[in-house]
Formats: sequence, C-alpha cells, structure tokens
Amino acid sequence: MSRSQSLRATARPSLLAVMLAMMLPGAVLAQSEPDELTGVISASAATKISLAVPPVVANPGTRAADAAELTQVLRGDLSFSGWFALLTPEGEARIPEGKYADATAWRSVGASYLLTVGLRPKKDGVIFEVRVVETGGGEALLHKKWGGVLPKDLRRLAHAASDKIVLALTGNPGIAQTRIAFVSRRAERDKEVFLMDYDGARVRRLTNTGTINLAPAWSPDGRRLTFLSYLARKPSIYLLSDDGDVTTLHPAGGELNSAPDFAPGADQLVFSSDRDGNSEIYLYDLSRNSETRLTRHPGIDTAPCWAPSGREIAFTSDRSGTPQIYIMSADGSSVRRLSWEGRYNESAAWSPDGGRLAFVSRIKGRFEIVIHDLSSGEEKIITSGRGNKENPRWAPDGRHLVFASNQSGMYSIYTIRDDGTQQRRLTRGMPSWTPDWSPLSR
Amino acid sequence: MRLTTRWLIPLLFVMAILASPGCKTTGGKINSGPGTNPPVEEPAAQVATEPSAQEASEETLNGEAFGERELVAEDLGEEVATTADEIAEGMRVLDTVYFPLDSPELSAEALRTLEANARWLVLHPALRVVIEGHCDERGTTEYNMDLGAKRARSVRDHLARLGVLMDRVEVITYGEERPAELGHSEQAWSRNRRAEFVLETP
Repeated sequence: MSRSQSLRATARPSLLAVMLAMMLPGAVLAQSEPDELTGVISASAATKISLAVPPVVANPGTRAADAAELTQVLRGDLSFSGWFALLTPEGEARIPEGKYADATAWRSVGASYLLTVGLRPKKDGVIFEVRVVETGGGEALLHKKWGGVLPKDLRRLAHAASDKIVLALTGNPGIAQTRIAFVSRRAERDKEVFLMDYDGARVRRLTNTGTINLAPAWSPDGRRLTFLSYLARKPSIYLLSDDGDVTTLHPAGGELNSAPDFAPGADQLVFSSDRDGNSEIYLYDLSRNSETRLTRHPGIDTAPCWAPSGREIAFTSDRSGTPQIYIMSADGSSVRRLSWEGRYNESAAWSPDGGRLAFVSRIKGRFEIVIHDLSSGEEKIITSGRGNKENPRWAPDGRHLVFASNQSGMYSIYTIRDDGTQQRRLTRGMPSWTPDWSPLSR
Repeated sequence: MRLTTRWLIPLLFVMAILASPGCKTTGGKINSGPGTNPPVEEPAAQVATEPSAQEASEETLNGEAFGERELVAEDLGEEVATTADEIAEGMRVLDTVYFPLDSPELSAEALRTLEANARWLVLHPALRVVIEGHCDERGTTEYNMDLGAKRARSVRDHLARLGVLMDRVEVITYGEERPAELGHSEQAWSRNRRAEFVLETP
C-alpha cells in the first residue's frame, strides 16, 4: 500500500492554474482572502459548469448593502460547492450593467447558465427572487420567489437559494445551509461548544459551563449534538437538543467517557470509556437506555466512528503498540486493521457514501489528513505545509472536509476539498478545535 | 487547590472509622522494619492521647483493642483543621511524575518519585488523592484523552503496589487540555506529559 501526495494547495494560484484559467474562458479564479489557500483550479475545472453570476442590483427602496451581501453569499456558496466555474463582470467577462440579465450577452463570453436575482421592496421586508436560465434560451430551470423577507434573514435565504441552484443544475444536494459545531476557548481553562454556518459566518455559543467541553458530534437528523464535558468533574457524555435541553448519558458519572458518535439511523451512540479498567468502546441505546461493550482488549480502544451503512465501526486502537485505525462489525466482531503506514494514525471519519475513510496521520512529526479508499486500499495525503491538521470530518456532500489546524499559530477551523484544494480558514481570533459538519438540513 | 466540601463531613466520619485501624496496622508493620519508625508512629500517638492516661498505658499492650476503643473518642472538629494542614503540606510534598513521548511507562525517576509520594500518602490516610493524567499537545485530542487516563492508571496501580489503599485514590484524565506550560518547545512538551497529585478532603 502506498500513499500519494495530492496536489498541494498553494498560497498563490499556480502557474498551471493561471494557464488553465486563460485557456478556459469560463474559468475565473476564486476570490481569495489574504491567508486563504484557494485559487488552484485543477484539471477538473474543465468539467465545471460555467455559470454567470452578475452582481445583485439594489432596486429603489432596497439597500445596496443587502444587495452586496446577497451577491457575496451566492457567489461564495456556488464557488465553494465545487460544481461551478463562475463568470462575473468583475472577472474576465466584461458585461455592462445594463446587460446583466441578458442571457445572450453571457453566452457570448462562454457562460452556459445565468443566475439573476431580484431584490424589490415590499410593505413588510423585501421580495427576494432567483431565476436560473440556460444562456442558449428556453424556460427557466429554476424560479423561486420569497416575500416579506427581513433583511437579517437574507443571508440564510441566499444559502437556501444556493442549495436550490446546486440541486437544479447538478442533481446533487447543496451544503450551503449546513452548519459546523466546534469548541472554542473564552477563558484560559475552559472550552465551550459553538456553532457557525458552514462558511464561518454567524458564530454563536451553545454552552456556558465554565469547564472543558469537547468533540461535539451531530445526530443524523441534525436536531441534537452529543459531546464530552467535564461538567460533573469527570469527563462524561452529554446530549444537547436544538431547543437547548441538556441531558447526560451517565448521571452516575465516575468513568472517563469520551469520543461519542451517533449511529446513522438508529437511536444509538458509540463512545469510549475506561470503566472496565482501560479504554474500551461501548454502544449505548438511547431508546432502551441499555449498553453493550464492543471491544475487549488491554490496549486503548477509542474514537469510534460509524459507517453510514450502520453495519461497521471504525476506531483507533494501540493494540499493535502504536495508535492505528481498525474496523469492526457493529456488534464488535470481525476486527481488522486498516492503517499500516506510519506510527500514529487516529481520528477516523467515514465518508457519507461509505467508500472512504479520512483520518490523521503523523508524517515527519506533523499531523496530516489522509484519505483511504476502501475499495482500492489507496491512501492520499491531502494536506501539507505548516502545523498540525487534526480531527477531519466530512461534509454531507462527500466532497469537502472540515478540520482543526494550528498552521496559522492559533488552532482554527478550516475546510478543504477532498482532493486537497481550496483550503479555507473559517475561524479567526478565537482558538477552535474538534469541528463536526452537520447533516443536510431538511 | 480543589477542596470538595460537599462530602466533607460524612466521608470524614467514614474515613475516621476505616482509616484509623488501617493506619495502626500499617504502622505496626513498618515499626517492625528498619528506618522509618518515628514519622509513622505520630498519627497513632496523637489519637492515643485522647483516652485517659491509664487506659492508654493499658491499651498499648494490645494494639487491636486500642484501635477499637479510640473510635469512640474521634473528634471530627479537630480532624478537619488537621486535614487542611495536611493538604497544604501534601501539595508541597507530592511531586509530579513525568512520562516519555506517547507512553504511560514509568521511568526510574518516576518510580523514585512515586515511592516518596506513596510514603507520604500512607502516613496521611485521611486524605483522598486524585491522580490527573496529562499529555503534551502533539497527540490528537481524542487519543490523548485515553493516554492521559492510561498514565493516571499506571501511577495509581504503582501506588497500590506501594501500599496506598485504592478506595482513596481516584484517576482523571485531562488529555492535552490543561498544559502545565504553554509553548511548543521540547521542554514545554516534556513538562506537560505528566501525572499530578491533587489532595482532597474526603
């Protein structure tokens, strides 16, 4: 088995990327913030859908700032999705403002599709309208209108519109309405659970315990988070509902419990605990309040992660002498070792389609993120450069991952494409760890 | 310093019952050996002053009977003050144990530290001790939780071999969450791979 280093994300667009961008009239380099590692258009850019996204025009009675935010959010979502090469008049396409809605003008500069957005005043709030047409003519592929929209909800509606556009043009669900849970520190000795939109906007705190909370993990329906907390002095597992309700799995406490993960379908959790003398993995049935021990080994067994099928569980064990990734059946039988390269492999996360496992691997003294293809056995290292990258978790589209890294000095949350491109930093000015990407919103 | 007062009174009482004979028994054993006699006799001697002088002189002929009689005379109020002093002393005396990278193994130096710590703990049986396992920042968050637990357990198990009663010892892991030293140098890391001792009143 061997590992390949994927295309390295670079701070500047590579020469290849610039050449590709020049060759493809539809390709526009993604806008990047100073320390954002984007801009690499790989060979797959050729297969991207060329979509024109002219700026949203603020009609009389609406605010220019709202129009600008809509433009920014829609472009950000559609570009991030990875499906589209965006054409904008600020980029290579020199389309005058009067022709923003003119499909044939956009067709002449290589756009296959045109997105137009209407923003008009109404008595209460505004009317927000999106329309996608093929530039070659024909009926709208998508036409959606929202009325009575309050300006403060525009951002969320823009995300909803982005998901509809992705679905209409690709047949795949968009992830613009998903969220990321993580922990961040306010005081020197605490970590609280936080939530933010998938693009790093709208950061809000969910717990206020004054102690350490770690590793939030989403329930399959997105209505609950399970996490580890020192609230009752010793680390125990808690559940937080979307209505703010907090419950604990083990009111008696007394054990060292960690790393909970929800089962994909059933009302079950897996977690590790050392109640029987050393770290083992347990299954907890929430409806029956019953517990089953899954591993029996004197080594450390931890960080369990359910396969989307519900039939298998990946976990970390040091039974070979060093931490490595293993897979077992959901009843604890048929344990087999998955990772063989290197001396420290940990924190496995199963891709939504079940075909791949992401985990961290210590390579030359640093943690990098590796993706293991289960059918071919091939492993690809998708990160490189400064600092550690830890705790990879998949986006529900199976095309992106979120992780924590200290590459900028302070641990922060980043997202990245599964091919190692388009790394993007989400949190700033707040140290942050252990992210988990929500399921699709319904 | 984390002093839990919630359990103070009921547990103190229980410990008084449990610990005093235990201490005397241990003291008896150590008395027969060389070297460590004087400090060991102290707790027993303090308690023994409480019954009358006549009783005391009689009872010293028979350790067992002496132990049972003194329970009646236990003074919880004074014990609390003593315990606070003991905690203060213990926090000065009990040294932190350090570990190699990625490992819960006890080095020769760690074993020496634990021997001294165990000696002090045996002499102060009324206190509970929490062993906190910690890691440096280089492992992953989740695995470090378990490595910290493994370190704390390895310390606890060695203390047990040295005669510290397990029912007064508790382990907890903080993984990499509570570094002793901030910073990302080899020196900071080696200071953070550790097991700390925290004393508590019962």
